[in-house]
Parts: sequence; structure tokens; C-alpha cells
Amino acid sequence: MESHRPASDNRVGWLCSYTPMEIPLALGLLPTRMSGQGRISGATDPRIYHLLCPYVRSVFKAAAQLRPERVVFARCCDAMVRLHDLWKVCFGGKVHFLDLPKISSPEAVSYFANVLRGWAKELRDGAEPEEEELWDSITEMNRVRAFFRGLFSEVARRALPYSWVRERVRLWLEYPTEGTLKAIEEERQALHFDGKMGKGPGVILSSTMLDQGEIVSLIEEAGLVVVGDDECLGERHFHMDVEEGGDPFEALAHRYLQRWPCPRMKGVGRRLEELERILEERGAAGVVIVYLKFCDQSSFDIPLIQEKFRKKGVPLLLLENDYTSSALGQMRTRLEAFREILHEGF
Amino acid sequence: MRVVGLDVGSRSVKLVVMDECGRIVDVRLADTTFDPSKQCLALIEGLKVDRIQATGYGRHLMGKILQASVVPEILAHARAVHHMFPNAKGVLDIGGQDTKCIALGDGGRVIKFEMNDRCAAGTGKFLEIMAGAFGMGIEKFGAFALEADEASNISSMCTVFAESEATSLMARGERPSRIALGLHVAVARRALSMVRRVSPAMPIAFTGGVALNPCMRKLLAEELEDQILIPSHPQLMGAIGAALLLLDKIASGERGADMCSGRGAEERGSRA
Repeated sequence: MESHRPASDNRVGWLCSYTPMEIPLALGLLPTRMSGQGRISGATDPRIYHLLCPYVRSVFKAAAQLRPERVVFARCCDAMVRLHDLWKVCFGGKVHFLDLPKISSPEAVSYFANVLRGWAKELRDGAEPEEEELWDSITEMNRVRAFFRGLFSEVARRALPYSWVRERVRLWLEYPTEGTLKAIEEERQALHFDGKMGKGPGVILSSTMLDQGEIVSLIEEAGLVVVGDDECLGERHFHMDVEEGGDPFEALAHRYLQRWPCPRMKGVGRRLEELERILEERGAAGVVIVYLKFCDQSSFDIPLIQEKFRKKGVPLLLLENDYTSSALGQMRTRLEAFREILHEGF
Repeated sequence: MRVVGLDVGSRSVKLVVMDECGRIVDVRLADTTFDPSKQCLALIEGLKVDRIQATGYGRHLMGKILQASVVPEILAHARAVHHMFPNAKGVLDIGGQDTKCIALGDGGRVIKFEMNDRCAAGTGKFLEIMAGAFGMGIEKFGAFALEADEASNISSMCTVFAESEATSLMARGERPSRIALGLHVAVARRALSMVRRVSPAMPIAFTGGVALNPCMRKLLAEELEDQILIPSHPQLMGAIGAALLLLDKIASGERGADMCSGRGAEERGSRA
């Protein structure tokens, strides 16, 4: 990837985990994830309704100061579509939009492949990208996915703190270059973890966008050990490789629509299966759901997840995240009490 | 041996000194103010105790300052309730800033809980602000509400909107005691919806400062068909629980299972 490293003004901002980073990387652009710095602060912007997704609001707020030349949105939810509309009006620049299907049928894969082909042409100002460039980028990204899956497998074995891995994921998503990856690899090799996190009850963390490292820290400080996650930029993001061969856009579309789905995809069945799988494989004692306030798509799934785990006798804690610090004290109390419930083996 | 349970709540600090048999030997109270550490240190001044355990929102702050252990208030309330009412199957704790409902299992273990967050609606703070709007102290507000023959309908639980609603009702000539009762009904309704979600078996104990309010006690007792147990000092339950859990810790770690055969309910409460 070093050879593709672009100038800093060649960034492509992205928001949804269904955005294939392979395409801008193949074209010598730098895909950078827009995080909104994980916090809504200051006055509410009059142009964006305060009951809208806090992640969307935080990105909009942060963008007023620092934003990439190009930004790509995906049709992941209504809030994101509204952000796309606002962005064009308020900030301009080169704004792209991916019409992301909600299902993963062969027809949906073909449709999404055409969407991606169109996006690649837009990024190259109308010219078709070279297939070889795309395959190089796909191969690189498969390698990166395998690397991060390796780190998450260490989390599953309690050999690495989840917070450490999530922070490195964040760094890489913001600046996905070979240099960043190398620095993470070197840091990992030099890390002699003392194993302090190994004793507490293991939990699975389920969320959508979870930018606040402080919430992850609260979970760990409460004595819980995150041994797996179901989070947009966690294990889901690195699940499954792109199969190499054939048409690269079809291969990309197939991987992105077939992987461990997020709540915006139709149905909760597959996601529940993955949650149950990691819960059992890793011997987790409970589930912590950090629900993004005003996220209808994920909140519709929550009663189904609660019911499923209630029947299995798995304790579940639901926390609400509004991207402010107003409820961190209460969260700490809940997490500590939840730890005690798990500790007593209930 | 003497231990302290220190409950650093959002509105008040409660301190209980307990001997090794679980007997309460001293109680101290203060407002939390904006300097809780100063208040706590003033309460502790002059006390000769062996260990301290803090609970409540300020537990970590005071834990560091006093080199004290900490325990979440959910566990503290559960422990204190089980100590005083071994037959209790749940806890409804309405404090200054939050409301919690806890389902208890065998031996008083916490098996499920729910807790409000962010918003003071339905908590002691809500009633305190409303009492202020009526020009009276919170300690008189419950009795005042009980003077009403019927309750006004208050639809909003938001502190700001409910105050506006109460003002509108007053402007329409509604009797103040009816409005006060309506506000209490709204708080009780909200707490009961949490009880239904957690669905503990009955009876449940009503703890926290709001349990001192006679109107809230009456409304909840009516709705829960008298399956409600109220300690004689409900606002102290967090501190008592913190002290008991500390004694448990000392007993299990240092002196075996039971330090004192006579240890039991020092301060029993009563049914509402």
C-alpha cells in the first residue's frame, strides 16, 4: 500500500463499514474514516435535528472544521441520507453516494457491483480503473483483514485488551497506510502484556458505531473482559475476505454483502447466529449492548436479541450511548453491578 | 472493629458507622453540595474506624481520597434490603438523581436491575424542584399532596415541562394540593413502569430518600397491593449496605463465614 500513498489532500472520507476501502486505495486515494471525534460538544447545530443519530451529528459538527476533499456516503439509514443531503448544501466538495442494498441475494450482489463500478469511475473522473490495480488493492486489504482478525483472536484468548485493539483499528481506519500497519505490528511485538485483564467475567460487546473509547474503558475498569464484539468497526468490519478471481467489482460486492451483517441489513437471524457463535466459542458470561440513541434499525433488533439470550439464560446489559458524557457515571454503576451479577455466576 | 459505609449521593452524603456485629453505632448526614469531598471529610472527622467502603455517585472520588474500597449502589441497596427484610424479592430505590429497580434472588443476590439515566424525571430531584415551585420544602410536599381529594392530570414527566404544566393548572384555578398529588402520581407511574419491566417477585422494599415522602409511600403501596416494605430510615440503605458488604468481605477473607452469631437485622423497617 505504500506505493499508493497519496498526498494528504487526496483523502476520501467514509462513514459506513460497507464502503469498500479497496476502491479508493486502488486509485491512489486515501480512504479515511470520519469519526466525528466521538463526542457531540458545544451548541447544537440549528441545521441538524437534535433527535437525529448522534454519530451523524458528531460527524457533521466535526466536519465544519476539518473535512476531506471527497466524501462517500452509503444508503445505510435515513440519518445518513440526510447527512449526505446536508453535506452537499453546507460543505460541497466531491460528494459520492453508494446505493447499498439491504439484502445479499445474487441480484443484490450484481446491483451493488454496478454501484461500485460507477463509484470507481466517479473517483477517476469518468475513466475505468485498471483491474490489476483493483486486485492489488484487494489482495492488500485481505492481508490487512487477516492481520486485524489475528488481533481480535488474541482478544478472544484474553491475550490482548480489547481497548488496545479497538484503538489501533481506529488509528488504521483514519490513516490506512502500510506505515500505520507496520507501526501497529511493531507495537504489538514490543508489547509485553501483564495479563491483568485475564480474571474478570468475559463479555461480548454489541453495538453499532462506538467511537467513544471511554465507554470501552468503563467496561474494562468495571472488571469485565471484552472477549469479542459485534460492532460496525470491530470484528464485523474484518470478517471474510474478498475471493480473488473473476470480476473485481462482483467479488467486492459479494464480500461486502455476504459478511457478518450489521443491523441495517434485512433480518436479525444471521447476526444473532454470529453473536451466539462467539458467545459460546469464547465462553463469555454475558452480553453488553451499547445502543446508539435514535438508531431505529439497531433498536428494533434489541428486543429480539434480549429475548434470545433471556431464553438461553445469558445476562444482558443494555446501555444507551448519545455521544455525550452525561451518563457515564450511571453507566459505570450499571457495569459494576453487572460484573457482580456475572461474578456470582447468574 | 468499626467500619463505615459512606453513600455519596447526588443530593446528600450518608455515613453509617457499624460495629463488627452489624449494629449501627453512628449516623451522619450532610448535603452533597458542589464539593462532596469536603462534605465527606467533614463527616468523617473525629471518627475512629478501621475500614471505609464508599458507594453512590461519588464513590470513586472518595475511594481515592480516603483509600476506601468501593461498591456500586445497586449492590449496596440489595445487601441492606436483604439484611433487614430477608423475605424481600426486590428493591425500588428512588434517590435524588436516579431510580433503580432490582430483582433479588436467593440470599439477596442481584439477578436483574434497571436504572434510569441522564434525566432527573421521576426522581427525588423532580419532586424537590416541584416543591420549590409550590414555595415549600421537599419534606412537606408529600403531606401537602395527601390533602387533595383527587389528583390533577399531569401528562409530562420532564421536569421543565411538568413545571410549565403545573403553572398552567394553577393559572386555571386548580387547587394546588391536587396539582401536587398529580405530580406524585406521575412519579409513581414512572417508577411502577420500571418495576413492571424488571418484574421482581413480591414483596419489594422501597428505599432512597423519596421513600420518606408519605404520598409516594401511599401511592406505591396502593398500586402494589401493600406488597411493599419500607425501612425506618430508607435514605440510609445505601450506606448500610456498603458497611454490611464490607463486613462480609472482612468476614469471608479474614475470619471465616460469620464474625458475630448475633448479627442480624439491627434496624427493621415496617410495611407501608
